Amino acid sequence: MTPHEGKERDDEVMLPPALAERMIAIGERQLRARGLVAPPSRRQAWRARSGWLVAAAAVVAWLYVPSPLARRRAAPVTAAVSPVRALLDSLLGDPATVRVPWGASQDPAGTGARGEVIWHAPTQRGVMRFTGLVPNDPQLSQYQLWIIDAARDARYPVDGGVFDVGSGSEVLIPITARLPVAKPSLFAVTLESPGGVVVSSRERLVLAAPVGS
Amino acid sequence: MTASVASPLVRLAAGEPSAVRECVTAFGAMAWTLALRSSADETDAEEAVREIFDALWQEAGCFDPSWEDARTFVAALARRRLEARARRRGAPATHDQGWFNWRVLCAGRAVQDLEEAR
Repeated sequence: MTPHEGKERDDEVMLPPALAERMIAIGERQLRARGLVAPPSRRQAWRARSGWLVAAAAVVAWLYVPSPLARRRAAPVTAAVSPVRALLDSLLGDPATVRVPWGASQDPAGTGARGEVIWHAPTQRGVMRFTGLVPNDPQLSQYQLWIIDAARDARYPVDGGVFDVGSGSEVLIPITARLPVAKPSLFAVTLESPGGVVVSSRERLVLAAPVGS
Repeated sequence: MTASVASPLVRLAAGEPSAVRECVTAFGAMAWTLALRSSADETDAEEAVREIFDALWQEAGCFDPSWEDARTFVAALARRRLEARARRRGAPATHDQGWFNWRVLCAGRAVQDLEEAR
């Protein structure tokens, strides 16, 4: 996918009407057959299956773990964010949690960086821990996490969201994957334009954590 | 992103039948254009566009309007389907995987270098 994905309208060719009608008929047939066209997103599934109890849990989760959008708007996260620490502690106590050390690339932002990825597959939650990662100016650039899922096409890693790094001896960033990650093979951090990108140019790959290395 | 473009995908994920037609109307030209570009002829492109929409019916629930533009979501999905289709036929993968594989390789080597240095 190119960065100019949304700019293809000028030279688009109209879908032949007969073909369009066939696509519609097939889609509507599938919709009727399944009741739902697509499996509901995790957020929708929560809404659908639950009542007040889950709603309350969702509020608690929202309070403690910023959504990807919230992270985009958030001020730089620092080690002082105690809910992330609580999440980290809870994950570290679970035998299903995997811990993968970061390896720095040649990029100056990550040259002196250390740390690890803590990932808990059953809940699709995790925490990135860094020391020595160069603080970013959110007006100029933001860090973005990518998760390469062995169960998906490696060219299209799962977007783990953008985040900012402030000063501090240790930085903890919660991970909320954009899509379910079945079998993570590599966690990678790039430095991108503010707000992050849908497809990274990977011009600045800062850190990588290959799972199982 | 405008609500009028995003809403068909959201409603499709919710199972609203009318959203099917709206999605084909909104994204049909893009899907068809991409399919034509990667197909040998129109018959092949018709099969390709069907694969794209089949995938859209399946994966619409992954779309999050707070995160990305609807056209970007559909275009990415279409390209994935077309790439998968090309691979099934033994065609070499195109687009931008080269630099990414290279970067992953570089990252792997960097990690290896670090481990050896320790």
